Amino acid sequence: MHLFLQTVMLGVLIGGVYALLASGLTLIFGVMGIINVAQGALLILSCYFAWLVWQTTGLDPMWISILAAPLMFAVGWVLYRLLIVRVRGAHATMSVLLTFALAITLEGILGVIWTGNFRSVTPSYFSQSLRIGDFFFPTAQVYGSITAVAVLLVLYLILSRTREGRAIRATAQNRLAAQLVGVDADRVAAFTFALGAATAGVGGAILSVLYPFAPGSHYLWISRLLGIIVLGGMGSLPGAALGAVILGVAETLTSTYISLKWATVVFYVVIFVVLLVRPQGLMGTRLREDVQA
Amino acid sequence: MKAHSTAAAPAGNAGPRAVRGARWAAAAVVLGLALLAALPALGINQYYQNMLLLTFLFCVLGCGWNIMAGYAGYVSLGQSAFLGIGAYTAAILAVRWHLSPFLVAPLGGLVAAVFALAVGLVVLRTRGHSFVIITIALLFILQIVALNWPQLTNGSTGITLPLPPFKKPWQTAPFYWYMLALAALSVWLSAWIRRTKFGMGLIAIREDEDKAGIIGINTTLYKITAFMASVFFTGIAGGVYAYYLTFIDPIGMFNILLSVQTVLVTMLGGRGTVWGPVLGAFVLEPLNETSYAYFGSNQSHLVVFGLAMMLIVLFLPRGIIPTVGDWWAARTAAARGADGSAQAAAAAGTAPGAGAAGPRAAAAAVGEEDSA
Amino acid sequence: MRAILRVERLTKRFGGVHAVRECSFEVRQGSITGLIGPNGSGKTTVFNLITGMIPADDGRVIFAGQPIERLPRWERAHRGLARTFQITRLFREMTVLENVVAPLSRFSWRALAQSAVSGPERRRAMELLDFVGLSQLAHRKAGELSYGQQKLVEFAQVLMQEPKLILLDEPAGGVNPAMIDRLAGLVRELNRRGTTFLVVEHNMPMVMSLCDPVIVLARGSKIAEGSPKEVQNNPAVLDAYLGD
Repeated sequence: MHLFLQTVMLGVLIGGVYALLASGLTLIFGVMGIINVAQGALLILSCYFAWLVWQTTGLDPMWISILAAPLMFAVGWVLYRLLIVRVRGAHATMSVLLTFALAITLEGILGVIWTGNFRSVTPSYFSQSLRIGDFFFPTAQVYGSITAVAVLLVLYLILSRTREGRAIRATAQNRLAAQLVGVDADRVAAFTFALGAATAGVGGAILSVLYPFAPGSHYLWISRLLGIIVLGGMGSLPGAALGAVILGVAETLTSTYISLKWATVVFYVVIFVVLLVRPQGLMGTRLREDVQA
Repeated sequence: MKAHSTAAAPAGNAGPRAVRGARWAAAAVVLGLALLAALPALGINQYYQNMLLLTFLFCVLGCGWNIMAGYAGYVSLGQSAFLGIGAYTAAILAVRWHLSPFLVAPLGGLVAAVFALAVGLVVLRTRGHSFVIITIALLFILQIVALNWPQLTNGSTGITLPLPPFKKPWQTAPFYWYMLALAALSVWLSAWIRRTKFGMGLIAIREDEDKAGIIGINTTLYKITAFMASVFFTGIAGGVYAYYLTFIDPIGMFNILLSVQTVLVTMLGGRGTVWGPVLGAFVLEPLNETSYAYFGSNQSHLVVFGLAMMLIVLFLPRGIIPTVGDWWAARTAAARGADGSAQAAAAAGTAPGAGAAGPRAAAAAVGEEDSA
Repeated sequence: MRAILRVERLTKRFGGVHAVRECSFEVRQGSITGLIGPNGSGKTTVFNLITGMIPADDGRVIFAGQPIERLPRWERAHRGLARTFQITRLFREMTVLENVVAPLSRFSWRALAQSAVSGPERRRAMELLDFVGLSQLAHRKAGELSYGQQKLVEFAQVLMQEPKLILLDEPAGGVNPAMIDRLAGLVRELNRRGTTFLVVEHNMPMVMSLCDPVIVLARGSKIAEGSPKEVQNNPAVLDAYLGD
């Protein structure tokens, strides 16, 4: 029982990080209707940024993650203005293909600079454990989860308290109505994409401590993140958080009771079963907008 | 049977001009096939045989992908997963049953189709994005399974297939012919689907899936059937490819790069057209070899592919064939004057059921969804 | 006369808001029934529920004596239910003729393998295009046609299904008066040959001259039904339109 609780709690901690990673993806989908296949590559890009800064300055990766946010926000903004804006309004397949191409390009560039070898950021607490009550957790995981949840709270505040955030939420709920009340759709889309990239920035820096990474790792992450938002319901932030925790717990339970190597596969089994029963995901709704146009 | 006789007849009101065009096109295809088949016998060297063989492989992959992505509008980013499934099926069965992989390769096609059925039942029942998402994950899941199920797949060690019995200088030719046949069958299947009610239903789904359902098209069944059709020859090609390589492992066989190239080949030639993937394969594979010679590593290759795909999406989103086709139609229409434009359009293949009037016409008749 | 369509206590909520609330009504076989009501009264949602565009939360739809509310939309089509859309939806990249032959009135594997535009179907589609007066545009891409022409193509497309009941969603919306007369003429002609219609329309003169009976919806439920005259003189209807 103790082991079970320990496993579930670790799963929830991991889920917290996953929730942050998935938030950007689901936000971008909710507002723009675009599946950003490059989100995983942006994540890995930020991993390399964290690794580089850590190597040269020795700064704690959790602080680096705060640095990465504005930087990746800028990257996201530029990518939107340069590329994504050109496929707005086109069939959804074009944005999938464009972001897929972007992901491959980023993977290639990272590989050319830093080879395909796995790296990780190893601060002093890297292999330590933290004791909380009767339970032990990897220190890095605890720090990572705290940072992730803090950033999610900031994201929530941005979405609920700022003008930009309110425009984003209005657009996600009803694009046409938002435009009618004077929301600048293009500006909102750029801001959303940049915000999504910023979450990848923070998330990447956290990940760089928790998991070894290589340029090709982005497939693993985009697969997981897309799985999370499909499970939770595309475009729903609470859904993404729920899906993230389910994934985290499913993975830790599988690796504790079955085997580490099947952890990811079990998650996809869960997704398949959920989709069979509820094609729109756990918290997805099929609104009237689905039907018209 | 009535239906068959009408299907075989030249389409609708296409005039004698179109009929003659169709005959010429058919003759050109047969001649081209014969020429390609004769090449190994004419003694072209192994390097070119290999290059053409890979070109045929991309024809198979591209034509398959095109049925789903071009006709039905459902993009898959994991087409090469089915190549891997076919390769593993053929390798495992050939080793266990002591049979030639050539003989068991078709079973790889069947297994691939069954996989497509299973995946399709989960993600193709509704309209939406689950399909593209699952296809990204699929490649990845299969790789994990292949790595972690050594009893079946021999894990990361991989499987060595029986050594081919073919003697020099004929060591490549049997693979070459097998792959050529698969490429020809893939094009045939794609062209056949395009001109049937099934293909028209798929295009209706691409254009407006809800509406397609309302007018009586069983969209779920169409999409799942199309998905199965789109992976069948890819699965068979997987077995042939595995035998050609004589060694397969999870990393090499469930390789995203092949999926990337599949997409690229079809996008370049023209998504939704019968001959687009073929044109794309013949353009891309030689460039591929050249760029390997220049850049070497896989990583810089990715940059080249990624940038190429971006450029195509942004500047040539419909691909070569539709773009050139439109330009040509506009030119002939202008040449004939404004009042002849309708006939010009018909002659250029926008006539209904133009698929029967030759593949070239069919290519021009297929629309592109992105204008909406 | 018997009812070809019976809607019983149909209910649909969108995030807590009732778009359709326990809505019940009947459409008599052979009638041209009008379905009117102020904006947001749930007319189009009722159409979507009947044809299976969206699933109902509750209630039943009986068509030709059989419950169909659980059937997928294509099976409803196969049973003889067809509709047009408020904003015409055609397959824009297909030709007009291809659009008209696209509907399937039943499913068979063998039919799937047939040529897309084959003999008898092609003849029938050309007849229908003739009927709506567009046969000369058969080989144009549907997306190139004017809005009014697209409406007529959709009409021909619907007829290709040989439906028992056609739901028309604002047939007069966005088309010129001459076209409205022509559409009304087509509906009357088809009705004489035995097709039943259920028409959502805002153009009151058209409804009053074409439809009998007329059903009035307000806030997702039926509030009145009767001949055009009765409905016009019903105080509840006036209240619904003027707001209460």
